[in-house]
Amino acid sequence: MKIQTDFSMLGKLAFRLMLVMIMAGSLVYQGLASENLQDPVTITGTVTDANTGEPLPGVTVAIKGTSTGTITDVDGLYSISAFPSSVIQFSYVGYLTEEITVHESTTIDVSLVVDIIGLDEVIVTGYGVQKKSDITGSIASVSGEQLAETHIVGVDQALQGLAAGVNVIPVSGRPGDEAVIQIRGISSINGVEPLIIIDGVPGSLTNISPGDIESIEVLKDASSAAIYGDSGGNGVIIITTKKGKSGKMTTNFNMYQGFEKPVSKLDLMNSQQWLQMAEEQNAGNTAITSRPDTFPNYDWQEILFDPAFMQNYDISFSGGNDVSTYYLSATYTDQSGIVKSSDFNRFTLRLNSEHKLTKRITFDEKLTYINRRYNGFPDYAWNNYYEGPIRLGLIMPPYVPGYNDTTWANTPYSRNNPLARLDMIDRIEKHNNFLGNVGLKIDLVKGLSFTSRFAGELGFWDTKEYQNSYYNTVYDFRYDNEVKSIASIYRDLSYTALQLLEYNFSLADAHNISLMLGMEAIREWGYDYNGERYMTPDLPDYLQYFSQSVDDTSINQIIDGEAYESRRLAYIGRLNYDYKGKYLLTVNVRRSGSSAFGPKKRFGWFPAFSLGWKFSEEQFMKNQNLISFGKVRFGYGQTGTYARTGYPYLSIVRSPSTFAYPFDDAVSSPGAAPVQIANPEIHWETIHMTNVGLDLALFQNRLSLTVEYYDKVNEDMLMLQEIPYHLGTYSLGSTYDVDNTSPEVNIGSIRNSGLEFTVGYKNNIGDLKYGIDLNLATLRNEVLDLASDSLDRGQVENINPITMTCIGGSVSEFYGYQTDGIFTREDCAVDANGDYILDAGGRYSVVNQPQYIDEEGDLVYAQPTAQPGDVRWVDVNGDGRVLTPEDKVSLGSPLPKVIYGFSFDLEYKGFDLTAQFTGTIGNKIFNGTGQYLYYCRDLTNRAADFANRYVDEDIYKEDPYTSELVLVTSANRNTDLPRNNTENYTYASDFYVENGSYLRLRNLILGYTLPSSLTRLINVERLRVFVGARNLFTLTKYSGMNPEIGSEVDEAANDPGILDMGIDVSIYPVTKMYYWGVNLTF
Amino acid sequence: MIYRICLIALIGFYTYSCSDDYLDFKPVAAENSASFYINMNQAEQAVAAAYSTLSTRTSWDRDILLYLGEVPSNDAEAGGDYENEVPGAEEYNRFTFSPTSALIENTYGVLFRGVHFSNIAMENIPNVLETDPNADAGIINIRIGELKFLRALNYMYLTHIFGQVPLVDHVLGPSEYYRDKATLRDLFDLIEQDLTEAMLILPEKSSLSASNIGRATKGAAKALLARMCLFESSYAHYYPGDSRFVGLNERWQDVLDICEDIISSGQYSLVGIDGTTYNTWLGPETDGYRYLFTVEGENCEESIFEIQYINDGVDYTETRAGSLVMWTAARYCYNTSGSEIGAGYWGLGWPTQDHASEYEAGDIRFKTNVAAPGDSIEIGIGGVAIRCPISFEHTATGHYIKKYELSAEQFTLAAGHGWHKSPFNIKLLRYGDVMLMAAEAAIMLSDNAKATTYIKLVRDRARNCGDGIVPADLTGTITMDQLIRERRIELAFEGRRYFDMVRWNIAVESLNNTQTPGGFPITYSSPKNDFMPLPQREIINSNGSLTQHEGW
Repeated sequence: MKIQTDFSMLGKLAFRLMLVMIMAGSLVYQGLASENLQDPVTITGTVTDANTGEPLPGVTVAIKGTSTGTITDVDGLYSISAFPSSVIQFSYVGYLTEEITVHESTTIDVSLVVDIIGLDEVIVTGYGVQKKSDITGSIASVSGEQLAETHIVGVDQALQGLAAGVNVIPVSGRPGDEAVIQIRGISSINGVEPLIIIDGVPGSLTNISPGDIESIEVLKDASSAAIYGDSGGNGVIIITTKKGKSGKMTTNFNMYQGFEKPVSKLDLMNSQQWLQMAEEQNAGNTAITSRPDTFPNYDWQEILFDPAFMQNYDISFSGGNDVSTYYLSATYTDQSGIVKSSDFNRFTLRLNSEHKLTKRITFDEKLTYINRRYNGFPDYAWNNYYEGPIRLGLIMPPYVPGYNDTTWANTPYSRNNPLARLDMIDRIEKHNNFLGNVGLKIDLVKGLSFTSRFAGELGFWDTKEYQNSYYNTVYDFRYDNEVKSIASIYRDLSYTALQLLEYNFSLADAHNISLMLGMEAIREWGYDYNGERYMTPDLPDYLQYFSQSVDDTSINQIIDGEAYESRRLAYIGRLNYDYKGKYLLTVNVRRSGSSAFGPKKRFGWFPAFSLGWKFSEEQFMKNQNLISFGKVRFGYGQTGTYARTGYPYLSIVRSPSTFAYPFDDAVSSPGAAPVQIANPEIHWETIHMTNVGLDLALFQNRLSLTVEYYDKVNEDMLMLQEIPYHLGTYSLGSTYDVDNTSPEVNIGSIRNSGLEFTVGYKNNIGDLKYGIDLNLATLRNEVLDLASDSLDRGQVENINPITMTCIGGSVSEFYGYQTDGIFTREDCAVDANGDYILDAGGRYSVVNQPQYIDEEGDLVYAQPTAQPGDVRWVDVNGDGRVLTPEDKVSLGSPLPKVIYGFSFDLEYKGFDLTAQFTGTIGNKIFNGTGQYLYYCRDLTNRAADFANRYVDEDIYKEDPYTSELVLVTSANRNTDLPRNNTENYTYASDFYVENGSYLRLRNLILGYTLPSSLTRLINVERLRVFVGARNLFTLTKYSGMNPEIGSEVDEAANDPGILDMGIDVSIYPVTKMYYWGVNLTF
Repeated sequence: MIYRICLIALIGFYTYSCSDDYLDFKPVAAENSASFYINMNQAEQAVAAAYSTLSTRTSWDRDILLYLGEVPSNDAEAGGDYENEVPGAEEYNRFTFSPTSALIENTYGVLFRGVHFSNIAMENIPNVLETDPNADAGIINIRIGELKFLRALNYMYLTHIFGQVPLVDHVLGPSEYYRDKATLRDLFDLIEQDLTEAMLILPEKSSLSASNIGRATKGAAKALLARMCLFESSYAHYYPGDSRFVGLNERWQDVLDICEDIISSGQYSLVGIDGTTYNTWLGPETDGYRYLFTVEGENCEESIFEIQYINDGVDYTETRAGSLVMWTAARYCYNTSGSEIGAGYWGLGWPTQDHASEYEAGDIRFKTNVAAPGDSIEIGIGGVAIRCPISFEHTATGHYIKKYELSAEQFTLAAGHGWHKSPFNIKLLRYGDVMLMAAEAAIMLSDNAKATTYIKLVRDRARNCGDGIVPADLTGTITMDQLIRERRIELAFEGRRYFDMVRWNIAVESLNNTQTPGGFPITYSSPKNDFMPLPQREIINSNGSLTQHEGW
């Protein structure tokens, strides 16, 4: 057989298994058929609502496993013919399905219970679907409606607070910026990005509009995610898009508009306070430099931040008939930034349809086009240490206006006016993505089906940037000969081919088995080109291209590019088994291969299993009314992650510009050398995870409760192995040189464990329906092993490092010195008369401090130059010295001990009110913004709080106009805030580490649905208007702008930002938004 | 029918993607060390990479020559805007650094990266003779010579700075990762062997084509070997019985012979010795000594080996350019209205008064090396070059280094210029140094005639570049003191002084119990401070095989 020769061992096995399954299937089919030889009887009965006792019309009554069925009439009556062994299913939308075996009865009356918590819902799992009540892994489900209520542009941020253990941290508030999603802690320093699956194939959250989403499932534990094996280690987010329902065409139109502003402002000094500080700092000048009353006052936060308008529209048409259904949608989002030059807009078009080609073959397709545009200041510069505009704006002295009459205001003290930069760089980034996903499902024989899915994506990403010249000060300029145009083109292509064979059958009416075998092949490849060319200044838009006719100084241009390809191949298998729906077992296994690894370690096995027991189905639970549903479950599995790209198993030779050398003083000759010591043994990070859960539904399902505990350990975390530099592994750091040349090895280990609670309660009081939902997750994170002693990261202004990751601690703990208040005059030496002993410079002698003996044998104070008002540093190791490396201690972790979200929903006669809260407990923030707002070197602006700093004595200076002595700064000895001295504020210390816990009203929405009797007059089925507010208020002790601090993810440098989390570096602020909108269905 | 077609299509597709071979493909846009090094072009790239570590951002010019070669000596303070503005440099002035200091780590790293890239290229480029039909065995041979020179150069500076370090003469496999430091004897043997071989292979400077001007030459290999012999002889002579220098010998005759070999090659001359002037940015009548330190004077007749820099005008040069002008030129000057403004330079490496007072009044070399009150500097303001009087308010010694000053057109106003960019080459080996090495060896051999001859040439040039009077010829027996002083002046701020002080064993007496201008006491103890400690990370990552120097 020709085909067979192409099969690998596993392929052969799969083929044989398929044959066996087909045979087994036909046997079972025959078995079922033989049962039908008994005589049928006619069954009649009434179906009622269990709560009200009212008859239920339109309930589907069907014989399980057959196509025989009927519906109840207006009085809830039905009549159906069945065998004594038949199982009759009663199902009705919004009610729990009941199943009853006929036995000898001829009359079966049934009362259906309202399915308040959706136990009967079918939810999407890895490569399949399952009834919610049968799930044995840990899967959180979020519906499209829940998501739509958040009114957030990106799906990522919309997930915030909706599922226990899913932590969503906005990286910044800049329109279009993506949030970081962490599922169940941080198990790798190489990134924690979950796998995103859209309609069965890998995808990206940026490529979807929230309005098109039917449901989102989050696979949190290994037993459910292990089916994704090598890429499931950080959890999986499965997104299912909407599809049409047969029936007449339904049109949905939704829109909202809103205004955004910064979520809060910092309290900064005004000109008067600033001047007092400046006079104090200019101690050498005896005359005052300016008269406070003549100084203007500008609020740089007003200058930087403008309220921004945003709008979102989506329209969809759906419908179909017995053969075909369709869903067609278009959405448009336009969001201005609260800082100029940071706008985002998005347009998406989607067509989903499904067709029954024959009785056995179903075909579906999902076609999507997404256009995203980012306008303005370049990505890389927003959070930049030197030129980040937000940071520069906050430290502007308050007497400096943004603009003066003609141009940008001159900025003193070698700082740049951020407005000049924002104004003089034009940039646009356009993403055009085309996605296609087609599937074919064939029902081969009863219970056996084959699905084939093929999905592809084409990504076109273009950027164009023009950096114009300007001159502001000697430090703040771009000369004419530095004007340049930059353009980049990126092409990303990928496909996924997926084949699944599924077989469901029951044995002896008690053993329900479903089997699945599959294979998946994924290929991703792409390339990019980047060009730069020096140009003439002030070119209009239409001339900012690399065109010879416009600008002949073509010598100054550069072009470079990159290309990549990666492939993955996987074989998957799963068994679901249950005994009478009570005892549940799932086993799945994946064999994955990735081109990222060498031939020796290319493939790996990822097994998992889970068990469940629905104890509420047991006889002994039938006589109580409290617990209506109860299930315990246990799961264990292994998953993998591999966050890096490239080929670390090979010693790659690269030719970066830094390897070039100019031999002839005219042109550099390119150079090439291996940039990485290869590790042929490199393989996946393996994550072992155990999950235990309890699901309960109480009081007729009104209250649902889920409690889970998990423990997950990454045992083979990839790290660069620190080896001696004599092997040639030194590099300058990513900005100036090629990446690290050390070998990458599987050495590290990190453990995460936690408890998760999800509680929901729904009820009504008359016409008032209400619901409360709460989710809460604890996290314990511990680093078990590393390839080196510790990993230090993080920098703000001149403090570096800030975080330390070491064995025994948690990831990225803040690390620095402890302070113990400030020295006061009490700590100073006095003479016999009780007068302070001052030296020739009028300096106090602080004697109440540690001492040590130096090399010369002299007794020396730990802080020999200390004055009243200076920080008293803690001598942690007691050696008499302070500020030594041994005095550094952990100052807390940026990881929250608890994250939570809760919401209230109220509905009353057409009115609806939703309030959503999220928060964290127990995390710390390193207030890096504070660091440069207290840093005492230049006369930049400071936090308003700094006006309350220690000042030892009144300072008088001469007014040059009146020649009078003027009090410029008053003494302030009754304070804890250290005096104006650089030394007090330039160490990573507990001074900057603050409590980051918060509670935030994420969303508040009030809606009103007009009575349908009214709207039908204009042929409208549903018309709802609403107003809402996002991030309306926040409770926190944190003094910075926003307590939600992510980390600066630098993709170019392969730095996922795990090791410097929680440092507030004045990123683009998160916004508060007020909005209104309309939902229309007709 | 449709059902069958679909089924067949699917089975076909299934089998297509079924095999594990799916993952076997050649990595795109990536060469690996097994597939590279197959043609001449790739061989040339491997060699360029070995040279490129010399121009690694700030490593050689600022870190090795200024921070490690000058700042610890009694010629220069770390300086800046005020004392200790740059603690990472000032700690070398005060000898308060530790084995965890970033500068020590980076310098060690970049020098060994140079060794590594030379080793990689040396082992791989001969392969192209088999794989490339157009490969030129002669050129490959010369390139091997260049690589040996480069390996020796990196090791020379490793021994200057760290003394004993591990010996790595080939690409190490995983079982060889961890090794202890070698003796100076073994290290010098490697350097000598590399240079001796290179000397035989490499062409003379005069036979280099224009496109090969920056490459190592026969003369460069000889000059470096002379320096190695000079250091070996000095360690042996000035540190008798010191266990660090066991096996080293006084080889003054070798030093003299090699220097005279260079002299007799006729490849080099002292520029301006006959009073010739040159056209540079400073004017058409620039004297020879000043001309040496201009862009115009790069690769001139006195130059033996230079780190080549260009300012291509595009961003990547940011990582690879001569930055000494940026770090050393005057920090502040006065604008036309008399206000003090930043000149755009850092003003690091303040020349000490001790250094300034070494010059005889009228010695032209003072004006080139040191900025003193009355001097001006050219800077760019708003796109225009303006000459401004220097402000000396912010230098505690009253001086700035002037040697590396460039025109505003060449630096501040150059297209795409950046803080770390200038088109300025660094002369690692020059003929003037060879003269002084020869003179020193002659003194040690008590050959006063030769000592007088060679030191005279250096002073002749200085005199003829200046007023024709100062400095006058030395008479009588040339002493080591005179030689030391001459080296200090002639080679001022070229990154040699501190290594010389250690070599002569005068660092202790000159530096211990002194203080910085700001009054910070300096404690220098030998042997601890003669060499920098090995980086702490090397000790930690050595698997217990590397031992730290004594005293650290």
